[in-house]
Amino acid sequence: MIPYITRRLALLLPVMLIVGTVTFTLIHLTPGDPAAVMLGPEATPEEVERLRRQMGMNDPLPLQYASWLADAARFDLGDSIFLNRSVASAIVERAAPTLQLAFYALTIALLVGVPAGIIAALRQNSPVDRLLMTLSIGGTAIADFFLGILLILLFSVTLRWLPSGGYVEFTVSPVAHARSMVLPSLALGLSIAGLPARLIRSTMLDILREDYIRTAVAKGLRPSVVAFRHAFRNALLPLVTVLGYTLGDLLGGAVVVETVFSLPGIGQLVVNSIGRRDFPVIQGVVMVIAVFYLLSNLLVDVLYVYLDPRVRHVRR
Amino acid sequence: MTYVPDTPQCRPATDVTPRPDRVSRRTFLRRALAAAVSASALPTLLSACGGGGEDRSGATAVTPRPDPRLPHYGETLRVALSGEPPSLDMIQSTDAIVLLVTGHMYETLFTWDGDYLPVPLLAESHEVSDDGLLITLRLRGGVPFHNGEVMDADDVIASIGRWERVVGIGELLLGHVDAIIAVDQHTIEFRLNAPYGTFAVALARGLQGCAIHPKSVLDRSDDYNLAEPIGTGPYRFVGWQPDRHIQLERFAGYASTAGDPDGYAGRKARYLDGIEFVPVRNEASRLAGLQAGDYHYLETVSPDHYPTLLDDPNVAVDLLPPDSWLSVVLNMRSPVLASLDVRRAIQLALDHEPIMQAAFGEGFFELTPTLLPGADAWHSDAGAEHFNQRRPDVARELLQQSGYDGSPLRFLTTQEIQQEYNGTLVMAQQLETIGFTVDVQVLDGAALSAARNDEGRWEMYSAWASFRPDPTMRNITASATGWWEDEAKDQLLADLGAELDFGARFAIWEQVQHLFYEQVPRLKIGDSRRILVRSPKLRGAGPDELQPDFSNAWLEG
Amino acid sequence: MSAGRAGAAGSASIRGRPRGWRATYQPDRRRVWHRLLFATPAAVISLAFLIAIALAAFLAPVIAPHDPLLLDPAVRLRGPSATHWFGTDALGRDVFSRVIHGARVSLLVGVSVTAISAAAGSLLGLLAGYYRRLDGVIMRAMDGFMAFPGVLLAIAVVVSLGPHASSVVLALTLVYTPVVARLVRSTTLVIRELPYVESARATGLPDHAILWRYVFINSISPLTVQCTFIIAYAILAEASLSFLGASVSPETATWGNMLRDGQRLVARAWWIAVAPGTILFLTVLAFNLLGDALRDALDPRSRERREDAVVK
Repeated sequence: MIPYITRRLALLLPVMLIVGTVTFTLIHLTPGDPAAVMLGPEATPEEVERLRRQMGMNDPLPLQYASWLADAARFDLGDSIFLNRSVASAIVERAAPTLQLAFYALTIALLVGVPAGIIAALRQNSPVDRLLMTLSIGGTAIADFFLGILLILLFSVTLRWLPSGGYVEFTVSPVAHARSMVLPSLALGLSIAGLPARLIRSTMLDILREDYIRTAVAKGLRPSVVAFRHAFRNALLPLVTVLGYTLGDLLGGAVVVETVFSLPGIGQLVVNSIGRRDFPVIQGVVMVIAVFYLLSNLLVDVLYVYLDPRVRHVRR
Repeated sequence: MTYVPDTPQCRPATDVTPRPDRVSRRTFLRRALAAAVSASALPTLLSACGGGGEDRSGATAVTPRPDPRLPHYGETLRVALSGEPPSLDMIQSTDAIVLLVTGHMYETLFTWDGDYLPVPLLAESHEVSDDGLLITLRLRGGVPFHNGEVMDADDVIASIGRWERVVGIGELLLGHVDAIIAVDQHTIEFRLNAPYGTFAVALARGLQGCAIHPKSVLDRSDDYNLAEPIGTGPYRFVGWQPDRHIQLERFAGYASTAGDPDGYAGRKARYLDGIEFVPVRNEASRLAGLQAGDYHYLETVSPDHYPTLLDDPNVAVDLLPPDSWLSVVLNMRSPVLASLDVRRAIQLALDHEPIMQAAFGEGFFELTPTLLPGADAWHSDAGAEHFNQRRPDVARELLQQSGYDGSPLRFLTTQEIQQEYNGTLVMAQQLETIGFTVDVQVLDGAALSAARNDEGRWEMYSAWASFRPDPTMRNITASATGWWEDEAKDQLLADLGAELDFGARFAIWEQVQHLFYEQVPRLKIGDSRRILVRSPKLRGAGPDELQPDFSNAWLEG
Repeated sequence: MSAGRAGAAGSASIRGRPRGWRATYQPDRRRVWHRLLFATPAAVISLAFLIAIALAAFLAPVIAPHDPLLLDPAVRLRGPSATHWFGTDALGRDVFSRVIHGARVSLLVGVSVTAISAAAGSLLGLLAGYYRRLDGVIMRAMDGFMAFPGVLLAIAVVVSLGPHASSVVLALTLVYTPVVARLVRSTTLVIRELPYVESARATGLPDHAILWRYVFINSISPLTVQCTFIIAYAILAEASLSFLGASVSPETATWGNMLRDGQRLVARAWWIAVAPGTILFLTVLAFNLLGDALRDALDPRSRERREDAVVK
């Protein structure tokens, strides 16, 4: 196990180099520069040129690449051009809203999806099953930003129950925090709730057919007890695995929802940074998300191998 | 107090502030607004207009109100911005958001009264010698900075020096100055090599205005990074969490000027405990937030929302008189547009009404040739014969004669400013019908602002001309973008800067405006009437043209 | 997130538990169609709907009552009426005509992304799964692209290459190719160990023939199913990119662009967003239901394992 983990960790380096280089190239292919953004709509070309020089934007690209690489090797992500702070601290500041959004959305997805999956499995091929499964596809088929806007129209504008956006830290006011996170979490959570629903349904159907379940039923245990004590518990493993794999996506993917609800998260940070060409921030965020994604995948792989001995000899 | 323009019942508002001098319709309306919302709680006025808060049809139901709900201290104002300010250093950016935020933190030597005439703010007075070559600037004494230091001549000289190195207008001013000398703590002499008539204008509130910072802070800063956001303003900086908020709090030690609030000048009562600026990029979210009571003021809102907002009791919406205009900059160095005939063909072809309809919607624009809408003293119809001619047939003929070879007009625009984008599409359609090939390129804001500095990259781009109280502020007409190079124009602009007498300056400006329409370096399409969207609880916000001032605003209830 | 990894769950479970049955099970074509058409009414309705959308896209210039790009500011923001069935937008363009024309870009993007990802992903997956030496290099590169947050990668590509359909297709192809590559690689890993492949190799059949005749042909069923979902997610992802302002030029009639224009004005003129939003929803739903039914038909055992369908 240890050599396997070491090998996988070593493989992160070339992957990160690919990610970093591709990002650097893309960024510098992009027309537009931060000096012009900083100076605003009515600046003269002379003013822009002066600021460009000041920012070191006129240095040759290979030089800029080399200096980025040297910094990255020392885990130094540099300073933001606009935010008056280091890239690392900008990312740390934004991590909380994004992680919270991902966590709440996942919780909602599980609270909705898991019972739906169990019910569907117990009532296989009934109209209830069909309805639930169609709803679960429907959830994924609606654009989440559209869902977000509909939620704002209903709950913020019409009913005035919840704020339409903004963010309050949990430590400042737990209640205000909860209120600010409900709608974004719903928009993201409902659109992924179909995943656990369908996964739980299918694994439970598999398991319900296994011999030991038949034995349990034959022994006279009540079907509901069997379903929960045996089938559901065993269906959790694949669920955890799949959710682990999607966590990285969920984080990167909260971008749209953060935009609709003005949540100051990682997604907003990088979208806004692309908009104002804050190169060090774009580069830094992509690197950090990539590392996060790769590590979470590694963790899930390791967990899976550890938890399910059947896989050990099949893989690699 | 809800401001409903063009409603006769509100007009008596001006009776309360009688002004003997020239009053055009626009000044009249603006003054009605300023008076109506200005802090001094004028009971007669409030009863004259009814309490717009819950009685939105106050225009028709005139009910005297015994309790005019006087201004009071307390509460934090929440302002939704359309984006993050790129900097909290006023001189670094022409972005209006920067002025909106930093205008509360920093002050300039001069500011504007209700008629957009420059009046002293941090300055006490300035005197110009008879030959125009010596300007003596006296500063107000006992004005503290947020860090406790007291402003003196050294701070001002250091601030002007940094401003001049970064900002184009600063360069222009200092080009006329041989030496700046601190005579004593509160007196500065500017020794000029040529008369400079717009001294106070150049040093007044504006985009990239010359904010005064303590010398001790500037010593730790460089030209592009301000070490600490410290000024003399009525609100002081508390914290900035990008994409989350910028927080300001009342500056207890603020030294206010005397006199009733008038434009950006006069007393600043600082009723609000604090101001919080929240960037909300999505316009629908911004509106929903105001409707839900999360914000009290929205930085920009498309007039398309006007009808829906009128029906909402939680929103007060004011329609402002025109103060800025939609324009198209032509690249005079482009091989195609170097020809005056081709530029004239464009000018002749366009029908401005549908362009403005698409950009702003019916009722939210005016078509006038003046280049300084909102600054009524400068209103001029010079060149009107070239404005909005709508003669596509003549244009087509002229285009054929000009030898235009069908090479595409690269027309840059951005969807980040929806009005520019909408207008551009209509213009492109109109130009194509008379025989132009138009290549509309929709860029994001960052790409557009970089591309327009590259003369080989474009023929036209859509641009917004924001409000200017004086024609020497920021170059509508300079050679900078679009590269309008013309000796006669440059001479006129130099005279405009040097001349001291308003009548003479106005005559010069009319000639410039005439040249603008004759030589077509840029097209004026039309004036926009913006809408100001706020919570009905917000009262007393100052004028809007150079970004609102909340120093005398308060929140009701 | 829609622009994220389609098939993340599918490929994950496949990675976890390789399914040999896919390789050996040879569905009878007639039975597949029979099952698809008669056992699942949802699939029939979905298919009919998709054919209608495709026809509308193909015949858009004939069907659409107005030019989708024609501006008429005098009639801007009008509600649905006899002349403008779905009303007009902020520039006075006919929303109904734009919805019909929008189908072209949405389907074009969806189909191109899927076709290119399927081709490139299959090739890479076959090579990685069959040749152990290539496996490391190819899959690390795929990991690299999967490690990019999908939406951000797509935005960066579109912003740097310009707002053209080709940039969007390239961007989304980069997102979905690794998904296909992982799927095909995992089936290849299983199939290459099967006895009949061993015997084919023993008879001296060249590698490319084995890869094509045995390995790839047997990957087609899961690939087809996966492709149906990729189309759905590519269409949804294009809309999300448009919403963030990083897709085809905004004047082009696409559902995503219309949603972006319309969401701004949803309180004033709901029809601008609701019309394309509904059609987008129905189209994505139809592709998903079809994919579901297709998999059930190709592989009766999977009737229970529908988890592959829902991945964002």
